[in-house]
Amino acid sequence: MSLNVDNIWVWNIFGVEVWITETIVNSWIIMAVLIALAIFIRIKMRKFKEIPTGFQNLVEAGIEMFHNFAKNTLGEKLLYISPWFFAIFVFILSSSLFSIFGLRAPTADFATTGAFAIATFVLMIVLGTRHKKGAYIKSYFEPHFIFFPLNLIGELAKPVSLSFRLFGNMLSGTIILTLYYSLTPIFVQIGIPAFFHAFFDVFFGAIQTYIFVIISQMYVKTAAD
Amino acid sequence: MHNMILYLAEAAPEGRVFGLDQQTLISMLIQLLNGVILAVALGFILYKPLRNFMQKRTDRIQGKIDNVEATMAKAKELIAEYNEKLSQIEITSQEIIEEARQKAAEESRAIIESAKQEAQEIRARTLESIEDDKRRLKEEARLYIIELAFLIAQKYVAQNIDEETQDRLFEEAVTELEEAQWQH
Amino acid sequence: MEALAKAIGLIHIAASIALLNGLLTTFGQAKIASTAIESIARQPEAADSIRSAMFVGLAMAETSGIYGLLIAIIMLFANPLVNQLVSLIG
Repeated sequence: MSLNVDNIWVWNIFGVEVWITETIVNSWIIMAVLIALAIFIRIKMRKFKEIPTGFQNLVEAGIEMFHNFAKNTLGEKLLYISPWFFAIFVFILSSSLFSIFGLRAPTADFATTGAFAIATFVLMIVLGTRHKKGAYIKSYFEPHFIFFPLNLIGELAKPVSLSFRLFGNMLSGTIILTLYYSLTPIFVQIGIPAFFHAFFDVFFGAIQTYIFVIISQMYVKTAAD
Repeated sequence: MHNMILYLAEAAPEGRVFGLDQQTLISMLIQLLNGVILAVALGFILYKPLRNFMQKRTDRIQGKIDNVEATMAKAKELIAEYNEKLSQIEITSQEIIEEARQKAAEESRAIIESAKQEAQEIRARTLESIEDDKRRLKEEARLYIIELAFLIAQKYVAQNIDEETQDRLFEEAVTELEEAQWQH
Repeated sequence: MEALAKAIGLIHIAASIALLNGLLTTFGQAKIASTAIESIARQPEAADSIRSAMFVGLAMAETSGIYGLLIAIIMLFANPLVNQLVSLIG
């Protein structure tokens, strides 16, 4: 386990050098697992009954919980983009959970968190202009025309802080675990790291996922409402 | 893809932690694409069908609850209706009794009336018959008296006057008698 | 080579100084958390909304600490001035 994001392949697409990094490959693995799980649940859904039991209960509770969470923060009007937030919620959570198995978390790379933060920024602009029309553009020039640069920097700071918050937290967990693995002798590397993993991956991962998604939703809601 | 050449360039390092350059941008684009693909896949495979399933069930249960409430309301309405009917029936029964009582009173009055009338009639008839009897008796008595008088007169006159005079006298007596007032 | 080593050492010291703002950030976050716990103790029925508000507030207060972390990470891993620094020292 090394701190670096390794370049697994280097592709040349139309003359542009593209590094396929560990992050991207790990994302693909996580995506494949998630989609397979989704298909599995979908197949199981055919046998879902009126009164949920066992596995169905678990799935429904999860979906219901996320739905209520999205409804409380996004509001009824913007609920149609909740699948996107559901997907990034599941992805960020499972990426930190997968790092228990030694997979380098994709969220511990700025490419992933930056991508999600950019998506939030794009959603802010698109939904803001869609729901508030001219009022959204005008909000950049409030309270006076000369405040435009200040407002612009304030808006740009949102995705930056959003992405670096998740990135910093995940990277710090990775750094601490890497330091532990590389500095300690082999016989303490069995069993004891489980606590570190539980703390940095499961606990921080869950909290940071929650914070990332709730803050993205709040930014989008403030922009669009 | 045929133009995707796999090679390890001199420029590409083994790996790194963080950098702000073109490669990070490209990675970001790929991750954005991954995120969109994941969102679309999860949204269409898992999230929407499950939400629809649960929404439908919620609607169904809500419908059932509404149904039960509607039935309850109807039952309450029926109870109110029957209560009203019951009270109406009480009123009607009282009315019927009253009517019957009235009718009975009327009937009894009519019976008494008719009885009275009958009694009156009977009395009238009796009076009439008494009157008749009286008149008949009077007639009879008159005839009897006339006959008696005639007999007496005959016995008396037979020795004195002739037949002619006798007849005239008789006539006179009869007329006199007829004109005489009878006392009761 | 010696100049590069010196530069890296300087950069690490600078990064640790940049991360010192974590002191104040942590203090602010602790204040938020303690206030939230007091509120929950006073009004246990509003615990859910207080908790979500607390998380959002924590995340907001964390922003300055995150900027410090950003500067430290950029200095350590993606420093654009490292060559000039090396040439200046060397």
